[in-house]
Amino acid sequence: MKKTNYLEKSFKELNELLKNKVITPTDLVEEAFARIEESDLNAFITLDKENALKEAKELENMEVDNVLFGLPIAIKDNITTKDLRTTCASHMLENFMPIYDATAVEKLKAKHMIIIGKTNMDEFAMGSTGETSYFGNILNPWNKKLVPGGSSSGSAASVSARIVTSALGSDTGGSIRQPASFCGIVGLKPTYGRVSRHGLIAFGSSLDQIGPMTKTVEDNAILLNAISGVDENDYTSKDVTDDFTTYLGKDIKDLKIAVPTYFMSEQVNETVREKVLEVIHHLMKQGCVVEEVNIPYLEYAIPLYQIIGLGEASSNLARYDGVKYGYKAPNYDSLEDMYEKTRSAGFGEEVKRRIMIGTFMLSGENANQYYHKALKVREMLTDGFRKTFEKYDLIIGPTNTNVAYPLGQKGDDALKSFYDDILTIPVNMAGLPAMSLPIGFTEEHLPIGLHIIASYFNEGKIYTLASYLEKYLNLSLDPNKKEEETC
Amino acid sequence: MKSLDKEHVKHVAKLARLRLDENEVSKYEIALNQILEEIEKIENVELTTNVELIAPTENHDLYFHDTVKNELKRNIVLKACGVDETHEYIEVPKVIADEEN
Amino acid sequence: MLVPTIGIEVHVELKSKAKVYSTAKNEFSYEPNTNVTLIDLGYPGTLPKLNREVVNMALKAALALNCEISKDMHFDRKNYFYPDLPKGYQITQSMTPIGHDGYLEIEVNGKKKQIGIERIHIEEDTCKSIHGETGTLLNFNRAGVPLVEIVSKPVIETPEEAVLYLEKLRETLLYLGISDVKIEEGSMRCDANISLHEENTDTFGTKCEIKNIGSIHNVGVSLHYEENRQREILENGGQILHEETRRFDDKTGKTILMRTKETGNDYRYFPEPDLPMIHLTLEEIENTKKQLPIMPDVLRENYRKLGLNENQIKTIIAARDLCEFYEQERKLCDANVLANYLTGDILSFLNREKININELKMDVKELEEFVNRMAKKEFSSKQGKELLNELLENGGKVEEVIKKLGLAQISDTSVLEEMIIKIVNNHPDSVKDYKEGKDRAIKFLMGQVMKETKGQANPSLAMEILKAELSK
Repeated sequence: MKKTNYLEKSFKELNELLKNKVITPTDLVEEAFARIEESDLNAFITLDKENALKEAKELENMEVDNVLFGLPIAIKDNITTKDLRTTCASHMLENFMPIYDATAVEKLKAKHMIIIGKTNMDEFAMGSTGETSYFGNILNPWNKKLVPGGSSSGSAASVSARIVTSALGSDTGGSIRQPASFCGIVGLKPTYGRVSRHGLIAFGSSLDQIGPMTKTVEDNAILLNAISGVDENDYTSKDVTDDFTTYLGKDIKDLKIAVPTYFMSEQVNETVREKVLEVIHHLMKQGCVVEEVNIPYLEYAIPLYQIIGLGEASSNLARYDGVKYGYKAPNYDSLEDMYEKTRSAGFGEEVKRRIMIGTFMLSGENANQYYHKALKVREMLTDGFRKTFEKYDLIIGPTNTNVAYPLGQKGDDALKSFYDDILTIPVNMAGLPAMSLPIGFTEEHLPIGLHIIASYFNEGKIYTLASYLEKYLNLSLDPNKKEEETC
Repeated sequence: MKSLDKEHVKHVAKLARLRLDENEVSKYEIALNQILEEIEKIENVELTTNVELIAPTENHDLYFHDTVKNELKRNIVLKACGVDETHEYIEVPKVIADEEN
Repeated sequence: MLVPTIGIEVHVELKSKAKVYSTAKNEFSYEPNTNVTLIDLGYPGTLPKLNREVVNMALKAALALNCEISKDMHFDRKNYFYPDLPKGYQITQSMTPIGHDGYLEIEVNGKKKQIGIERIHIEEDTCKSIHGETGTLLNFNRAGVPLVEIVSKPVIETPEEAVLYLEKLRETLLYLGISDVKIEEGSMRCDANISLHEENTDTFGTKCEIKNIGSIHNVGVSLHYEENRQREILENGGQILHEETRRFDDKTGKTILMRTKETGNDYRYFPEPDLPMIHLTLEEIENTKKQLPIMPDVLRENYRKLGLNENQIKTIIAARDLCEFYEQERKLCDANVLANYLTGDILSFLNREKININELKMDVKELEEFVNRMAKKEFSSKQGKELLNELLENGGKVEEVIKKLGLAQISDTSVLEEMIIKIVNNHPDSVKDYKEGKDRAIKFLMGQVMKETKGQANPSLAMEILKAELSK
């Protein structure tokens, strides 16, 4: 087969080609599968080649009626897809075949996007390396000895490697933004309630959001347009409609930007800090007001996450008990035996550890001593953000304290696995929208992400700044072309 | 400072319906104590509010109004539960006629 | 002296059309696993909704039980593993019950007493389990059915009071129209706990809970048994060491140990993040209060004033549909005669036919006419019975049925006069007896009148004429 490179292009470029009949959806689907075959990233758990091709064929006779028409996309494997296996990268749901589409997936199908497959991830979205997957770890397209970040590892890796045009991820404590920054793509966690959680297999119910993961800022805005909106199946979703593409390319010079001291502290890798500072200096030169601020309680993100996030998780994962859907231990001699054998064998180590922590946090007096206090501290932390947004349009800083690191480095440390997310978790606690945008590379040519946070339902402002920086920085973000450039 | 012992770890495992061998109990004893230490940080926070942020949404008073819809056919219910579609019930190991609510 | 302290917990199924957190039908079905949506299965990725009607019904109950209303409410998750609990947690209200600190007034030996209500909250029912030989079968039809749990304060002092409290509670909920409150069908479930302590001390004893008692009567029986059992232990120098959960066996009349409670259940409650906050406005609360139906206590007073006897009052109030019917009809015909037939022949007919009052073939207008004509004593009670039976069995108009049964009355004075003169003349002995003061004689003569007219003489008119003739 002749190798094509259409998947390097943006939504709009592809849309033009499709409209002008230069290419067909089938060409794109075939290219995607050709790229998957060549790839050794282990980015997918389940592929849906037959249906994808069938659908592409059907679309050929239809009018190209929107910019997402006929474009191949990948879906994180904790988002339900009707009749397409959805595993959460867990032995527990290894054979789980949902009987309904998540609302976000339904919306993509209505736009005639073509689902290529389900992406590999940390088990039940618990992890920040992709290494906790039951289906094996995922590799970073920039350097295959490194982690891609997580938990939306396969979504980030496949978009970065140009295997698909874009992907959906989910973000509970940084699971879209951290892998986006490690893989050099644009990942957005929308405002809590912007995208329906109906069909997102719950981890931390008050923290989870589905979001777009794309190559460009414009693609990101277009994809968010497609998946957002109120849904009667999710009472936490909100009716606020917006066209995010209208914010692209807007003037940035009146933007007031805050940089929390905590985000630029010693715990952040020096190169990362320098890159962020370069951006800050440039923005100031452009007339933006950029000021250092102190947002209180940011440093409590990890304990809050462990109490609230894992408390919710321990409850959300109780339904996997061998009675209904999912794995059931083959031999048992009583109900209790079935429960314990099913859950001990069905969940991986990290998931079990987090269930243990969450259960512990809610047991006995701990609910009173820790949980309810945590909810109050969460309010205080959120109030700090609210007050900051009274004066500023955006908050920026690094997405992560570090860049991609070697596989296996995290090891079996109960605490370490949370520390990747110290800058991203506060955003989930407050329910704010935030993006990771590539702003450069380390000396080892590893991508660095800028964290751009806005106030509630103000994703538009994020897109304004991000589109400006993307254009200004004009980075080459295709890992497949890295060799050519460095050689 | 508060700490927890092996018995406590076993109690938590029992609540979570996870079976741990002695090795794992020791592992979790260390892990949970480590986490506990981290969590105790919030003990020191002086509260300035009594408001509990349960979920970051301003939504409130959302309802449906007693309408019946979206019911599934029984074979679909059973399929969804991974049970043979010709059955009438989902079967589990015998439960002693006890109750919990 | 050792005295008991009793607390009662009741779960009541509400009869909304849909379930509480899903749009599945809330209705008994002989087809298992058909009233089910994905939400009721706890299917991965689904989120709960909230049925406003359930909140309304619970609010009515809370107001009728004189509770303080939680204007700002959220739901909580109660976490435990059990096969009948699809999500591994029950969505309930732990921190903000819709009602708290209310009371229900009962009458103990003619004295009024308020039984404190600690709380009333909304929650969901679990799957129905059928315990077979080899395994347990789950029916999800019941999963997510709306419940209110009503917890009394531990202020009930005797098993008799417990029974009175439950009867009153059942009646109140029935009259609110929010539940069928049928214990035998499971739409009302009672747990009772009891402990004994020395009178005039304020330290409570260790309590035992008796779960899921099959009838209100048995609540009394089981509490009596349990009181005596505990008393025997304590008076013989023993101790109740652990809180126990016990079961009542209605065959032996004894309570049986199910399990000793672990050191408190660890339900790991926390606020449910998937359902947004609820704010009940003062206006909503006031409107609901205004719309509460007339409660049985008021009805009882009204009926006493009308002159109904206690049995009739009890019978009418025990069946809400009967009472509603009576409330509507008593203003349109003779209230006493109506009460008489309603609690007598009509009720027996309904029970025999297993139908309710609104399913009668007889038109209400005809019932009104029947009652009024009976009130005017146009027919003998035997005729009345015959007439009513026909109306109940086959419907039709009173007038037509009278003709059909040949019950048409002879109320024509001249016809009756002529006949009675003839009878009086043919029975001089009886006339003599009558004049000598033998009561029997007039009954005999009336009998002759009825015989002659095939029972169709208007009895009061005939008697009047007969007496007039005899006194001539």
